[in-house]
Amino acid sequence: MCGDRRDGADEQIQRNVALLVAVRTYLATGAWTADWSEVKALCIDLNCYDAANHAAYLRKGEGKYFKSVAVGKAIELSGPGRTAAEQVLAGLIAGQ
Amino acid sequence: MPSSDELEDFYRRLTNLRAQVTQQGAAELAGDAAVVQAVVTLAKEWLRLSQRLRAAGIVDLSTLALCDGHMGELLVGRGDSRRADTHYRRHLNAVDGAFTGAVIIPVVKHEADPRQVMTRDLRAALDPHLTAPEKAYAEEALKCVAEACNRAGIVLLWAAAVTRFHGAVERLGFPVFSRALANTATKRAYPFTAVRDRNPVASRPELQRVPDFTILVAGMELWNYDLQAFNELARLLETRNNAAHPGMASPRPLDVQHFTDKLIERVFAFIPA
Repeated sequence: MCGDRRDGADEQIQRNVALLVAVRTYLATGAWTADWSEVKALCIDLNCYDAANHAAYLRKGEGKYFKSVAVGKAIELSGPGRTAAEQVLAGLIAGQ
Repeated sequence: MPSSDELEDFYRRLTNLRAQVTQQGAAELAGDAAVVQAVVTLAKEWLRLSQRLRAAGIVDLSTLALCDGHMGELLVGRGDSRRADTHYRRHLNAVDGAFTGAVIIPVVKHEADPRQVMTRDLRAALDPHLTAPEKAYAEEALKCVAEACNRAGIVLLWAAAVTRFHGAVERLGFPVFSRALANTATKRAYPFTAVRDRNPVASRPELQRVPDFTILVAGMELWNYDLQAFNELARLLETRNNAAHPGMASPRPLDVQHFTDKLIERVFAFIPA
């Protein structure tokens, strides 16, 4: 998931991490939200955390994938965000 | 404990300041009071952050001591003003070198720990429903949950719920509550039989002597919840009692989450505050 580092890839990677964290939360609690710190920690684990641009990258998905993005707050997925999250998960399962 | 976002903000200012110091030569820096003041402010701010981090016990103490030492050097003065740029750069570089790996990342890892995530989720779920006195108990409960003390968390969450019941009874008035007790005592089937021989209640101390179970039974008349809702509340009380007494009950995080969800549904979102 973090292997691709072409232009714009970082933004997509960090967004995908947020979508996957939301999938995990959904499976655990039934809520389509991604905990801010959990997203950050997973980005660090996957070596794709960009502290200077992390919030800005996620904000670019605001209104499309995410209902709202605020530093330190849980990120709630929109309808298209849920679909995108399912696609990211399906891609992971398929080994992409 | 400072959040990782707060630490990242501090780190951004530190790197900006270091870049500014690097750009300016010693002579220019000596005459730039704003930069000197910014360095002092940053150093003071670090020492405050360091105290809070030390109390939390997340970051290695040797790292904090190292950063404290360098930031302290920035506070006490630069000595030879001709070498001010070197002095600032050396100490800022030393902190910069350790900061991300040894300070920010341990804090991020701590924040992303499943227990911390669950605690934040529970707080977000509870907050909109709680009054200030209830919140005091809930906050203590969440501190317990964050430290994996789930039994203590359950007991304190129930205390928040009882605060709601007591407050609601006081708002209805003690005569109304006493009447509900008397009406309930006339019924012949369980659980109403548990309310027999109760004296009327006329004050808060007397209400505090009434068992929680009795309040739950009388609550069917006071707040119009049915027997199924009562049974759920009675099970929550049983969970609380199991958590408060020695035994084999060992609630897991998911048990606490379920307990909280049910408390919100049956008490905080249902019984008027």
